[in-house]
Amino acid sequence: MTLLWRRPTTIDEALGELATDDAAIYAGGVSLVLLMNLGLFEPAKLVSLAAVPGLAAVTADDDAVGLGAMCTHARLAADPILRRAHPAAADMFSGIGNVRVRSWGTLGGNLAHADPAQDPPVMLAALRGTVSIVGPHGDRVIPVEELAEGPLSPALEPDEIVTSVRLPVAEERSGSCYLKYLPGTRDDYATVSIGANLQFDREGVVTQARLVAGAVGPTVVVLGAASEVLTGHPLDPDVLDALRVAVRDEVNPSSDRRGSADYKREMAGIVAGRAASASRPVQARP
Amino acid sequence: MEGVDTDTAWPSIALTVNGHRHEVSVAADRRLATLLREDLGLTGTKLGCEVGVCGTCTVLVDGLPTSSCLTLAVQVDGAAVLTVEGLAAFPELAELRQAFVEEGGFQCGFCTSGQLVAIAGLMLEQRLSTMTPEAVTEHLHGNLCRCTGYYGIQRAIDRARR
Repeated sequence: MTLLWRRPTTIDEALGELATDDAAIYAGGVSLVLLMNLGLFEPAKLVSLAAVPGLAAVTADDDAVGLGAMCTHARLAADPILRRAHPAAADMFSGIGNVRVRSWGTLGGNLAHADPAQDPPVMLAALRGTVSIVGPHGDRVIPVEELAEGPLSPALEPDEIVTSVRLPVAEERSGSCYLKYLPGTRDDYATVSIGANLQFDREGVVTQARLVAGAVGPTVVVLGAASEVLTGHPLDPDVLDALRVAVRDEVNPSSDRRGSADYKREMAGIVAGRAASASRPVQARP
Repeated sequence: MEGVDTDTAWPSIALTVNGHRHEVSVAADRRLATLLREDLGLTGTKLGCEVGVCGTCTVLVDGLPTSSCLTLAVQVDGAAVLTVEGLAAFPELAELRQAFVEEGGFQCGFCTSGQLVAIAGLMLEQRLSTMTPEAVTEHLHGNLCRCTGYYGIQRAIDRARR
C-alpha cells in the first residue's frame, strides 16, 4: 500500500489529517523511521508538522518557560532562554544520543515516543514540566510523567498533538541536575538516569525535593518516597545513604545487557545521591 | 493532473544534492540514504546499522549532520544535501582529505565517508579550529570505526584543525 505523506500548514488541518487512515504524526522522524526500518511500525499515512507555524518557539513569561514541541534537541541545547532558566535541562538536551539525533529529534516527538530510557521526560518531569496537548475534543495539560502509560505507549489519542512543554521558573535557592550512568558508549541508552530538582534553605537544609528516574521501569519513575527522605535534612552522608536505600526500593528495572535488575537498582540509588549532591546551588553550599 | 489519483500518487519533491537540483517523485517511505544511493547513484553514502547509531550514512542537510537512514526523502523537500561526493567542490577541505590519506585515517574505509562529512560540517561552518578537542570528540562520538582506527582519524583531524 502506498504510504501517504501530508504536510498541513495549520493545526486544524493537521488534526483533520490525523482523523483518518491510520495516520501517525511525523515530527523529526528519528524514532519513527527507526521503528519503520525495524519493521515495528507501518503507518498508512504520515502527517508532518514541519510546516505548522508556532510549534518551534521558546517563550518565557514570569511563571514559566515554554518549549515548542517541534524544537529540536540541538535547538534547545543552544537556546539562551532555556539555558538561563534551567541550565540542567539545556545540558540534558546537549547530551541526547549523538549530534545527528539532536539535529532532527524533537521535544514533542521524544515525549510522545514514550520511551522510559530517553533523557527528556526524566529531567522535564523533575522540573515539574507540563505538556500541552490539542485534539478534536479540546485541549488539555498534563504533567510530563503522565504522558507515558508504558514503553512506547503514550497517553495520547491517535488524533491528539503535543504542542509544547511548560517548565515553571526555578525557585530561589534551588538547583537541578541530570545524570545518566553510561557504562557502555556515550550515545547508548543509560543503565539508569536521574533528574533532580532540589530547593534549600539558607543553612543548606533541603526544603523541597523532586527526583525522577529513567530506564528503571516501564515509564519514568517519580521517586516520591526517596524525595521525601531528603526533605528537612542537609545532604550529609547519612541522608544520602538513606536516599540510596529508598531509591533502590522504589525503582523497578529489568535485566538486560546494560545490567541486571539488582545492579540497576543499586546504581539508581548511587546516581540519585550524586545527582542530588550536584543539584546544590552555589549559594546553598556550606 | 487528469488521470492521476493525487491522493495516492508519490509526492514530488525538489532538493539540491551537491549543488545539483533534482526534482523527483518518491515513495513517502523512501529513505534519504536510498534515494541518494539507488536513485541518484551516489553510493559514497553507506548504510551500516540503519538505526542511526553508526554514522556511516552521515550527510549534511542544510548544514545539519543527518543520519540519512533515519530521514525520509520527503522530509528534506526543498533542502540542500551535501554528501561525501560533494566535498571535492570545497578547496578548504582538500587538506582534510589529504590528511586522512597520509595519517591512515581509515582501515577498511566503510566509515570514512561518514567521518569526512561529519568533520567537513564543522569545517564549512568554520567551527573546527575554535572548538576544544573535547567538543570535537563529542561531535564525532556517533561516527563509529569498527576497525577501531580512531588514532589515525584523530591525527587527521588534528592536522585539519591547524
